Amino acid sequence: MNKADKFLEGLKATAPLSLGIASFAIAYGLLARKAGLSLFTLTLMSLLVFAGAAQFLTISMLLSGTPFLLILLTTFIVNSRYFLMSTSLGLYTRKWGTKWQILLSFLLCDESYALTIAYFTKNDPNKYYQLGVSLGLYIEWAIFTVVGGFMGSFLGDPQTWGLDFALPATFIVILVPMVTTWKHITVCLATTVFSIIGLIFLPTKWYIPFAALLGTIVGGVLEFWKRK
Amino acid sequence: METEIIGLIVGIAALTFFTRFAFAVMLKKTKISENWNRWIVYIPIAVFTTIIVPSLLAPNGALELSVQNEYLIAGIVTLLIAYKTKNLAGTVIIGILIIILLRVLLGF
Repeated sequence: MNKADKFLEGLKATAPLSLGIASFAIAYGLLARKAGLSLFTLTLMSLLVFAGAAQFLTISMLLSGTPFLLILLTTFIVNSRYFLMSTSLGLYTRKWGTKWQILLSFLLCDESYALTIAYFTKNDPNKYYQLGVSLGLYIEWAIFTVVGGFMGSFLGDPQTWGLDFALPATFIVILVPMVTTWKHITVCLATTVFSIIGLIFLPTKWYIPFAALLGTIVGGVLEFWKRK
Repeated sequence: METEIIGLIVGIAALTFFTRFAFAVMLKKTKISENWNRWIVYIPIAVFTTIIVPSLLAPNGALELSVQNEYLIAGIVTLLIAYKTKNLAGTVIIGILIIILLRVLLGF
């Protein structure tokens, strides 16, 4: 099969996810306008960062007047999941040379990771397939960000349209399939408790690094305590 | 303010690229230990839980542990649907519809 066919196959694979991504992107655009960002700036962020969770968090932290250094730290901690995803995909991409690695790493996101790793484990790993998936999601994210930004001037509050719930709903859908063992459930519950404690006692968004780190440590303890 | 935000965005973009690229490149030379692999699985679980919990329990910044909190109710229903169906797009849309329903029909 030639390069264009693989690319198109990847592009088509993004279709089932497009509705969720579009509503998420629109909600981001609306919220970014609410936070006072220009259409140019909010689109620039989608093109340069291309990470829904980090972008949403940045906007909500700007709205609550969070210091920039804490925004950088928090988005870094939230994005630390990419260390894991890029490691597992790296087993395939390392054969393709640095230029391809730079391009595909830049375009890596939760959804492109999920589609690509599922394909690579069943089919022959193909860089044009991954490029099709990644570029498809990237372009859709950018377009619907602009749509959301435009609608911001007419629709006003994303809350009226329930789009403020697109973020928690998307994260729930991403989290649920990851939780498959009692140890995973324990980590979820422990992290929930740490988050609540952090929310009550820590300033601004410090509960995120606090609870995420402690939750991960609980996971490590469970993992190695169980192994003996 | 706009210029400062663009600066912030460039900083976030650089850090984000680092998280996506660093390990993929290191993998060319390094072998990742079995123990590290087993531990790293818990990072996304803890991180996503940390993001979800406050967005449901404290949607406006302060804790709201009440049946009047529509985010909490819609969140629990979405969780159950996600667990049952494992359908990304469908669950997100149903979640959004539930929160609209709670607000419009039940006056949350």
